[in-house]
Amino acid sequence: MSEQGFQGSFRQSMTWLHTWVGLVLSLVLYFMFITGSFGYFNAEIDHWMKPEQVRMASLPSTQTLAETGLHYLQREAPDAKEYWVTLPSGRHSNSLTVYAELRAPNAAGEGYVYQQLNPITGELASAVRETGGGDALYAMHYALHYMPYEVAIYIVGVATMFMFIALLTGIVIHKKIFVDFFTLRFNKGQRSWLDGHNMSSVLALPFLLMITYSGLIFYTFDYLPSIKVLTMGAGEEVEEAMEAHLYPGSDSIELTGEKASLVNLSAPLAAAESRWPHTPIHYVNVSNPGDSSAVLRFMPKSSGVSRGSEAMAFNGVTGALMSDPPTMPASAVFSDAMMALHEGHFANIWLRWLYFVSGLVGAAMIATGLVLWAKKRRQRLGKRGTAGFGLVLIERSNLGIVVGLPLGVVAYFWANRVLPVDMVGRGEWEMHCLFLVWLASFFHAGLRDLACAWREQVGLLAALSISLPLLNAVTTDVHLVATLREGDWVRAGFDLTAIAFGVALVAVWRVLPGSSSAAVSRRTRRTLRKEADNLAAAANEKVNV
Amino acid sequence: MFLVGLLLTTVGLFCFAASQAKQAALMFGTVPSSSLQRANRGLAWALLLGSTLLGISTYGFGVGLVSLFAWVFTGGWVIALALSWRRRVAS
Amino acid sequence: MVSHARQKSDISASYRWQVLARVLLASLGGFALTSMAGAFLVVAFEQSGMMAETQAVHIMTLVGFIAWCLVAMWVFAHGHLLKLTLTMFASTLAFTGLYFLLR
Repeated sequence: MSEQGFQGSFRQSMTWLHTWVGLVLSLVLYFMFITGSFGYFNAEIDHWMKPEQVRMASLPSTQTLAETGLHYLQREAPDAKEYWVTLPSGRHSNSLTVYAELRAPNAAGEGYVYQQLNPITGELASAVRETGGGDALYAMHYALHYMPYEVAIYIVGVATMFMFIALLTGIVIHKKIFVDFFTLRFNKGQRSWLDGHNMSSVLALPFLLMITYSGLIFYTFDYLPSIKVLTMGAGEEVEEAMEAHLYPGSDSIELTGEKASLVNLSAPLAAAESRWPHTPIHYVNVSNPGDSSAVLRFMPKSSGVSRGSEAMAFNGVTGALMSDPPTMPASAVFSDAMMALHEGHFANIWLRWLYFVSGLVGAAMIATGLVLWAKKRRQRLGKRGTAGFGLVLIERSNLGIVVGLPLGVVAYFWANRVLPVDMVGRGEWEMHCLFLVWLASFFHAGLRDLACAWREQVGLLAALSISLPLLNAVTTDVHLVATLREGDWVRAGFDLTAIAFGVALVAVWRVLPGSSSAAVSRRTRRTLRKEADNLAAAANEKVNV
Repeated sequence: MFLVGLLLTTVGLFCFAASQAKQAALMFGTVPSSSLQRANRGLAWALLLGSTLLGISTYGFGVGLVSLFAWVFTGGWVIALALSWRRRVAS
Repeated sequence: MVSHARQKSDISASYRWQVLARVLLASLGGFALTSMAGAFLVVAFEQSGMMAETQAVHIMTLVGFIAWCLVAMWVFAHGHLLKLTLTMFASTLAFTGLYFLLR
């Protein structure tokens, strides 16, 4: 490596790269971090956004639940490759999720059936308002919105690579990683923004590296197909060979064509439950349902960092125990663990909160980086210079990105309560509200005096956030008092978090430049007071002399 | 156990900060002697090792490690915010 | 009217070409280099009997993401554009040659 890099020294070149890979797709990255963070609470947000949803007091037995799910699938998807029934547990205690992979697209043109059932009645959980809920919010962090999935994942992929390079260059250019571990100086202008940027990235670095790299792993062969294509070729057989290698035992079984009904669940289920006495059965899977070659599998919830939990397989017709599938190869165990870390299904409530906060800190890292870029440019310009188009554009769009998107998300929650409950296309309109408000934020940032616009948008965000529980109380009967009394901590937690966010934002709003109580003026006042005291003391001394 | 681990890690990071002249000066008003700094650093590593072992023994290797990172993250922020508050009081 | 913002950052035509060339080298060049090196290593591992092809492909693709990023960083760290371009072409060609030789 040469001494002189592209932009002077090695460090300067890496700083240049860090700045630009961070800046260019920051909009997409910030969007991914914000919406992805909310994904760690998708079920909780869902519960809040479906105020009609009743909490199940007591659930039927595992066997009844599994049969309820399977009966629904046998009725609605008789010709399917696979059935999956996810039993209610933990965070998903309200719903019985059924999924079938069809052999041919159904009347709606879809290759699958996916439903949430009422665990007690086995009917569609339809008595709730139509809403995108937490899942639509979460799905946007990899599938974006208003565009085909195939396009979205590649935009997301490029952004993720940029993020990865930004992280690696960030590590390389960092001089004193351990000193910066604790250094956070407020009210120091640009220096404070840099401290904030460093703090948010250094402390969350393991999380950030993991979340970025594992994000690529989800689409390993979509993002980097070349090595596979060069050596193994392309096509269906190659895909299947790879699948069979990475996930042995998952390859499809030949159909016999003979019709056969599924074995009674009680004996196999009892065998599975005695194998895992401490973890409840979480998934029920049937391959080739309705055929004499059917295989029935039970899986407990994985307790460690892995997605594919252990399974116990039975002959789907006779109920005879089948041998366990061979273990996965090391590289598949690794990639599986990375994806499990990304999704965090294993996380208890404490870790879940930290996942959420880490994600938001990642977003804060992008936000501080953006503001820092603009501040540096301004400073370099000095007092004489006029800002070029690029700087003005970024200064203005920074506000639209950093505050505009959270405004959109709060608008999404507001829309959930404000839009008429029986509105047609309600779920999609909630989403439109998010993007319309976000767009409006860009216009507002572009047209208004910038300092005023920051104060107004942060103020509005704080107000909308704090008043969310009030809106909830006015429009539904699951208001904070009721949920607290009932012990519905999921809904109460949502309301309380909204208030906490709002209060934190009020604190931010107070120190924004231009506010009457801004920290700058507080500092000035303090200095003035000190000077006045000194003068008074000096005067006193004179008098005494 | 999660909170015990968090406490252990935070105290470890506190010792770590105390082993740095710049941060220690902020915390105690004086710079501790170099042998005291070394002792603090040793104690910090010992405590962090302890919380690592605690995490792994409680939650297993994978989840234990994730918990450790989460504790360092939280403890680091707590200490950084406390230090910046000290700095403000000092100035 | 010449903007004052341009004063220091020197956005000359040659600078723009430099950036464009390096972006292309880092993206397309990096992709080609990573792919060919990965493909060569897969074939090498397979021929030496160290691991099955599918296994080698999976490992090399997982490593490939990191390698591609490092190549991109190298492209921007290197001072001499011409030397850099030649080195990248030469190494990609070398891996391609080795890959066809072993296959």
